Amino acid sequence: MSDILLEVKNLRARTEDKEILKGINLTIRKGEIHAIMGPNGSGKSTLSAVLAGKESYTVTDGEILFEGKNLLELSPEERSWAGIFLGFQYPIEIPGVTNVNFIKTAVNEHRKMKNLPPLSAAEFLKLMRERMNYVGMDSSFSTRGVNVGFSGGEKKRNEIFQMAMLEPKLALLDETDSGLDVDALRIVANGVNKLKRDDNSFVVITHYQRLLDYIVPDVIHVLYNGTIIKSAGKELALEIEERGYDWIINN
Amino acid sequence: MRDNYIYSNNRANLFRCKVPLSGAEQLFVVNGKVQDSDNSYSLVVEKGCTLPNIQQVIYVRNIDSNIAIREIDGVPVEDSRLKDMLKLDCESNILMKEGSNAKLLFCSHTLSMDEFETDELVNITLERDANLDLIIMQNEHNKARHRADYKISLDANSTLTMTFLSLHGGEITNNIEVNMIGEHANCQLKGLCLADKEQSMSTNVKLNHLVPNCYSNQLFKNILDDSSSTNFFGRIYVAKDAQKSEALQANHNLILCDKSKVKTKPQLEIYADDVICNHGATIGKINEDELFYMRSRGITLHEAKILQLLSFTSDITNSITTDALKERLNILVEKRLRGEFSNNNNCSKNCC
Repeated sequence: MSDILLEVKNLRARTEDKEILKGINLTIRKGEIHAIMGPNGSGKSTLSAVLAGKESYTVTDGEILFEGKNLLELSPEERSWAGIFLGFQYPIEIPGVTNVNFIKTAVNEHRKMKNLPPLSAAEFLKLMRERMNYVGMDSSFSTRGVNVGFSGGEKKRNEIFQMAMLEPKLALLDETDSGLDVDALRIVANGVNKLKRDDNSFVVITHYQRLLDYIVPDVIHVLYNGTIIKSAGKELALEIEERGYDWIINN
Repeated sequence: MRDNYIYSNNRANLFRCKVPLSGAEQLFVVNGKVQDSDNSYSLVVEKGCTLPNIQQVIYVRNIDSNIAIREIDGVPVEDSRLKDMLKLDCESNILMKEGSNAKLLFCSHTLSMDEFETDELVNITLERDANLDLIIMQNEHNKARHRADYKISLDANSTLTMTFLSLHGGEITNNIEVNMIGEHANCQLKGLCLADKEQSMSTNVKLNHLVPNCYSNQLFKNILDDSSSTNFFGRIYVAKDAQKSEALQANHNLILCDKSKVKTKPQLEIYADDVICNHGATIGKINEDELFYMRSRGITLHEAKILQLLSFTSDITNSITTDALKERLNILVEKRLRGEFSNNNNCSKNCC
């Protein structure tokens, strides 16, 4: 099955205190968009963080295969090089490190792994301008500290910009829509749609149906108490918007 | 005095400074004496004058190997003068007369690997309306001990901006005493200590608001690795009549190793009742969430740590007002954080 990008089998993960993921099964094919919904505290952010390799979680069982490779053996940076990107719910501020230096370092690390020379200053600038345009970012952002003094919407746009620069095969967007007004939401969604191709995939974690008006998913999963309790087509989002989660949980 | 500012080619063979900027004047002070003279360093900027260029004063500790080891009947014998040369008391004076302006960069280095002990007194006087921007860069080897006492007096409407970059050194102590004696004086103190191995770096500040309406701001940051230690003792004193004083102080420490030791003691001693004063201190480790953020973009763990350290140092280095100098000092800080200083025994090989 060469079109399978990610395969998660019976994944269990915990923090020091408690088990959060209790047997996740998920298959994502190339070109698909998956949405993950579910009540607060059900494990959505944990799932995306575990996929990206956050070390504060311990995987106790199961496996994650990415293009057939065992992802659990890889560090976060190796996963990034392999083509995984995590858009953070709360992007981190890094004062004193400019956006341009940050993303240039990241892009050139990716190129190094592909045995490509670093981009020249002119090439890099051209690429950066083009990708900043995807999300309507002003060029003045490039010389500011990473996410420092950015509004909530600007931070999320910066996440999508970084994604556009790194061109991942699998993008995990953790509540990228939270805290966005309608205009910002549309800008972010447009950015995602510009990057959508037949050979890359997206996992969109969200609480709201409205994001899925712009980024139309192939599958919606409901995560509850560490397991996926329902998977269905895009209509499910509307139903959740109307009825909440109780009817799914109680089934 | 003027002649001393001429760059000496002779000295350049021994020590090549990478920091100087186009137009910067360079002056060497070797073992406490201005090069080729018998005088200590002294600068007077006359009333209303502005030094046209940044003046760089390079304090060098060095012992001529001819003196250190002599051969008597083919047997190497330590010269009796050596002991005296290792221990040095020296003094520098800066007088900024009324309305004068200057930018200075002081660098201190140890050229030979001897166990230098340096006790230095630096008197800095700013008369009314004078402005001084002083950067102090310290880069000495691990066997060197350097204690510097800065006695500072600020008269009305004067502004002193002082930035310490203690990049390397066995034992560095900076004692800074500021007396604000004229209203509306402004004192900005910033400092960065980068300590590793067994190094010990101390910063002691006594900031005395003696008259009303003065402003002071202190920001001192330390990064510690291995078994190094830092001390920060900072006291803000506001005299009874010094109303409307504004005094801020912060000391932040980043520890990279469990064996490192930080002592910090911010203190306020306030006798006036209409003032704005605050002080604070933090001691922390590398932030794992920040590291994960950077690594999730494909930045290696090693590089992510360096970026985080540079981020920590940025509000010190980025406050340097001369862009070209800021860039060069930033490069030095980055080299130091990347561990490039440790590879050479003689610090002159890799510094400024």
